[in-house]
Parts: sequence; structure tokens; C-alpha cells
Amino acid sequence: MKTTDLIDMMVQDDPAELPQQRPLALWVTVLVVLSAAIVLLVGGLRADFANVIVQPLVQAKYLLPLMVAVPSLWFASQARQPETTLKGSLLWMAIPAVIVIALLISTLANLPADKWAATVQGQSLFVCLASIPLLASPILAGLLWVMKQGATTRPALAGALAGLASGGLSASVYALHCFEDSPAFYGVWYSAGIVLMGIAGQLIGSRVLKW
Amino acid sequence: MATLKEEQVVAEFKKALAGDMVVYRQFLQSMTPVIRGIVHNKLPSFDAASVEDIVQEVLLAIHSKRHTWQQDKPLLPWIYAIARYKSIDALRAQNKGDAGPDLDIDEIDEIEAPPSDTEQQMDIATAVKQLDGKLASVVHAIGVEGISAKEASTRLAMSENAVRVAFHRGLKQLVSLRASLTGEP
Repeated sequence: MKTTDLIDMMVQDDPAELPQQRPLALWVTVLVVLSAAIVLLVGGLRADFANVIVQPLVQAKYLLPLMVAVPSLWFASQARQPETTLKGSLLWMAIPAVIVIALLISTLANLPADKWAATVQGQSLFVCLASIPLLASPILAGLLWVMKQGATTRPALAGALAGLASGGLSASVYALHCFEDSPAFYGVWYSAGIVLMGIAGQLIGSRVLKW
Repeated sequence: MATLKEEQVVAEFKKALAGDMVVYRQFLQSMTPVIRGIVHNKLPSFDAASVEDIVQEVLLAIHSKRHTWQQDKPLLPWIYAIARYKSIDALRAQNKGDAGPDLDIDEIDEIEAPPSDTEQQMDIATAVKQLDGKLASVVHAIGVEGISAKEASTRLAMSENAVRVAFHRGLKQLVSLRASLTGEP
């Protein structure tokens, strides 16, 4: 087929009929509110929420995942334009990562070595490990669905960022319920959940976000 | 090859996005040699016919992803990014398992296009016949006969929206069919 023939046909496909842009911010808000509702209805808000939320180490449980989620979301949203290279996007994750490692080391350093394993393990390890990916999955699906309408030229990286965003958001939502306040617990297991979602996002994104 | 001016291209594309088909044709035609240049430059080992296949894919990609261009952002980097992405994708498809180079947007130069003496002389009507049943009738009616989507919807007893969707899908299929039509591997 000649290229000029193709062009002649393409212009018949009404150039003004633009596909609908899906609003990313709106969908993320809806999905986060939904997962917060699930956490509050199924698990319930931790009983001592009002008392402990003033403690910096408890606040960090919300803020650290958000420090992953916010830049990831921003880059994921930018990725919808093909000219976005996403260069340096993952470097932003170094900030919360360094803080988590510092908190983890200082927490363990203040404990005798024979208490380390029990502190890291906590009392709700399996609920935590299951909840974060479970709450994150619909958010990731929604993000990928919105992003698929865009035209990313980095499908795997864009998918990974969407996964990190979903993991970060779901971890900070799950923290409403979670009563484990030691950085030795959340620093390990929240991070694990978030990284797991990042990997899932990368694997799915490299297929789903191709065009 | 005349150098493309960002402002001029932007003005044309904006008019095209507003539905001006004449300007849209002009825009796509003036972009074609530029795209051909980028594809050729990215894929020096591809012969002219394969390059042309990818050029056509890039044109269709520009069309189907045109809503991702933000009107306050430069247009040429947007187009170059799509052309590179499709080129590298073609390279990956060719050497499966090979990761291929990563996209690099920094070197945005216009590249002189190679002569395009090998545009395949395939009759468009013959190509359309190879499409799936319904797509063929829609693409033939709109693309070859040149009737409007509305007229086609009455004739083919489909909704106007279904006609548009079928036409769009038909165009995409035409591009992916062209390889077999022209006897290329």
C-alpha cells in the first residue's frame, strides 16, 4: 500500500473525533477512597488512632509510603505523553528508602539482638503482607487502565511506577488499621508490599502499556 | 527537503485536530519524509520497503494517539518520540529476545530522508478487499468511495459510531496486512 493512499484514507477517519481523556487524578481519588472505606469497614480504624497519630514514628507510617506514591503518580501521569523519558523517576524513591533504612537501623540498634526477629515479625505479619497487595491491586488496575489510553514509550518503567504508586497508596491506607508502630515492622513489610507492587506493575505494564 | 518549522507544524496540527481534513492531509504528507528519515536513521539495516511499513505505522500511531499531545507542549518532540518508539519496537520484533537500545529523546535533530523510490505500488482497493468482512465494506465505502460515515452507517445498517470504530480498526489492519500484500516477509 502506498503511504499517500494511507494518508488519504486516514484523513477520512474524522481527525476531530478525539478519544475521551480519562482523568487520572479523579480515578486515583475514587480508588483510594474506596480502599480506605474497605479498610475502615472490614478492619476498622485502629482503636488508639487519635492518641498515637501525634507520634512522629506513627506519622512516618503514612508519610513514607506517600513519599513513594506521590512522585510515582506524578511520573506515571507524565508517562502518558510519548516524549516523557521518565529519566530519574526511580531516584525519587531513594529518599523514602534512605529514611526507612536509617529508621530500621536505629530501631534495631536500640534493641538487644535476641529481640530483633520478634520485633521485625510483629503480630500481624500475614494480614499486613496480604492486605497491602490486595488493596493495591484495584488501584494498579485503574492506573494502568487510565495510562493505557496514553502513549508511553517506556511501558515497563511506567508500569513499575504505577505499581509503586498503588503500593504506596495502599500502604498508607492500610496504616489506618495497622497497630504495628515499630519501624522494624513497617519498614520491612510495608516496603516489601510496595516493592512487590512495583515489580507486578513492571511485568504487567510491559505487556499492557505497549501500543 | 524543506526544514519543518515548529510553529507551522503546530498551527497545521491544531487545525487538523479541529477537523480540517485538507490541512490534516497536508500535515501528514509534510511529516512523512521526516518520519521516514528518523526510521531509516534508527534502522539502517532495514530495506526501503520495511522502512515504509514502519512509516505507515507511525502515521497511524500519530493519528490514534493524537489526544496525548498537549497543545501547550512542543509538537515535533512528540512526533519524534512516536517515530523512535515504533522503530525500536520493529527492531525488537525482528531480533526477538534482544533488548534493543533504549529510547533517547535528547538528540532531536531532523534527519535527511533517504529517497523513497520504493513505495509499494499496491492498488488500495485490492488491499482493502483483504480485510475482514465488515471492516472491508466500511473501509471501502469511506476510504475508497469517499462517502461520509453517516451515509455509510445508513447503507451498512450500523450505528455511526460503529462505522467510525470499524473504519479506524480497518485502517490499522490495512497497515498490518501490507507486509503480506506486498510479498515482504
